[in-house]
Amino acid sequence: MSAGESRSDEPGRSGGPDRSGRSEAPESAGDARLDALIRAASASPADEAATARAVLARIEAEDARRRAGPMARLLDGLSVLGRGFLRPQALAAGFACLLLLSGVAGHGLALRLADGLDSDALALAFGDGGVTEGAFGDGLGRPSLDALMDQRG
Amino acid sequence: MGESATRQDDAARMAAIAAGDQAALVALMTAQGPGLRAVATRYLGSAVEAEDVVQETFVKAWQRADRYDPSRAAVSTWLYRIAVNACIDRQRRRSLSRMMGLEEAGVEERDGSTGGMAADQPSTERRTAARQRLDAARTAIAALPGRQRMAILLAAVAGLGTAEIAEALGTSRGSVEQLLVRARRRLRRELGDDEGLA
Repeated sequence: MSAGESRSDEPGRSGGPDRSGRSEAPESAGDARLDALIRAASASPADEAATARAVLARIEAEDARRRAGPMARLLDGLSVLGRGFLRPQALAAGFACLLLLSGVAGHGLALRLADGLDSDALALAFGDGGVTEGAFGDGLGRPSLDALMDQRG
Repeated sequence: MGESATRQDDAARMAAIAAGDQAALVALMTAQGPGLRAVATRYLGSAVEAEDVVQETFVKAWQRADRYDPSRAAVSTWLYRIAVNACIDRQRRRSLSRMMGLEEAGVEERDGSTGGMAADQPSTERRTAARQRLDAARTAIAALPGRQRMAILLAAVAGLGTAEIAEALGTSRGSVEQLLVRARRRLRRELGDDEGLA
C-alpha cells in the first residue's frame, strides 16, 4: 500500500454497503488453485509461544510505564531520539546547533574585541603606516592617547 | 470446529481479555497469530517486521479490548484491521527512510520458508521446481499494488470473505471485489496461465 493510502482505526467504518449491485462471485477452481499457491508462498513457521511471551512482556512494560507517572512518560517520549532510524537526523541536528552556537559566540567575541580597540589601534592592527600610536585623534572628536596622558598629568 | 463456533470462541476470549485475562490473550494469539503473521510477512516481505506487527496487533488488542463491539465485526476482522493499519504504518516509515536514504530499497526476505507445496518424498527436481514456483509467486505477490496485495492476502491466506476484507481495509465490498479480480488476473499473467491457474 502506498504512503498516501487511507486508513482508519476502528472496524465498522467502511465505505458502507456495496452499491455496485454485484453479489460475491463464486470462487472458481482456478481461483482456488491460485489461492492455494498464495497460501503456500505465505507460509511462515514461527514460535507462537515466543510471540506470546514477547507480547506479554510488552504489555508488562507498557503497564509499568503507565504506573511510572507523567514525568517518566515525558522522558520516555523524548527517547524517540534514541530510536535507530532517527539517530542520524538527531546527530545532524546536533552538529548544526553546535556550528550555530560557535558562530554566535565567535561573533560576540569579535565585537567585544573591536569595542576594546580605539581607532589608532585598529589602524595599527590593519597596517596603516600613516598613523602612529597616540600621535593623532581619531577624527571623530575623541582625544588621542597622548592627549589623555597629558590630561592625567 | 465450525466458523460460527470459532467466532463465538474468539468473542468469549475478547470478553475475558477485556476483564484482564492474559490466558485468554495467549489463546487468541494461538488461534489468530499464524494467519496474521502470514499476511504481514507476505505484505511486508520481511518475517522480522511481520513478527513485530503481530506483537503490536495483540498488544493493541489487549489495550483496546473493552472497545471491541461484537455486533460490528468478528474478532478476526477486528484484529486484521489493526494489523493492516500497522503494516501501512510500517510501509510509510520504510518509504520515508528510503526517501532519506537511510534504508536500502531491497527488503530482506528472512523467513526462508518454502511452504507445503512439495508432495510426499519428492525428487530433487520436483522440490526445486516447487521452490521456484513459490519464489515466483512471492515475487509476483510483492509486485502487486499495495491494496491489491493486501486484499488477495486477506482472501487467500486469512480466508476472510469480501465483506470482512472491506471491513479490514475500510472500503466497500464492490471495491474489494475489483481489487481481488485485478490481483488474481495480474498474478495469473505473471505466473503463467498454462499451469492450471486459469
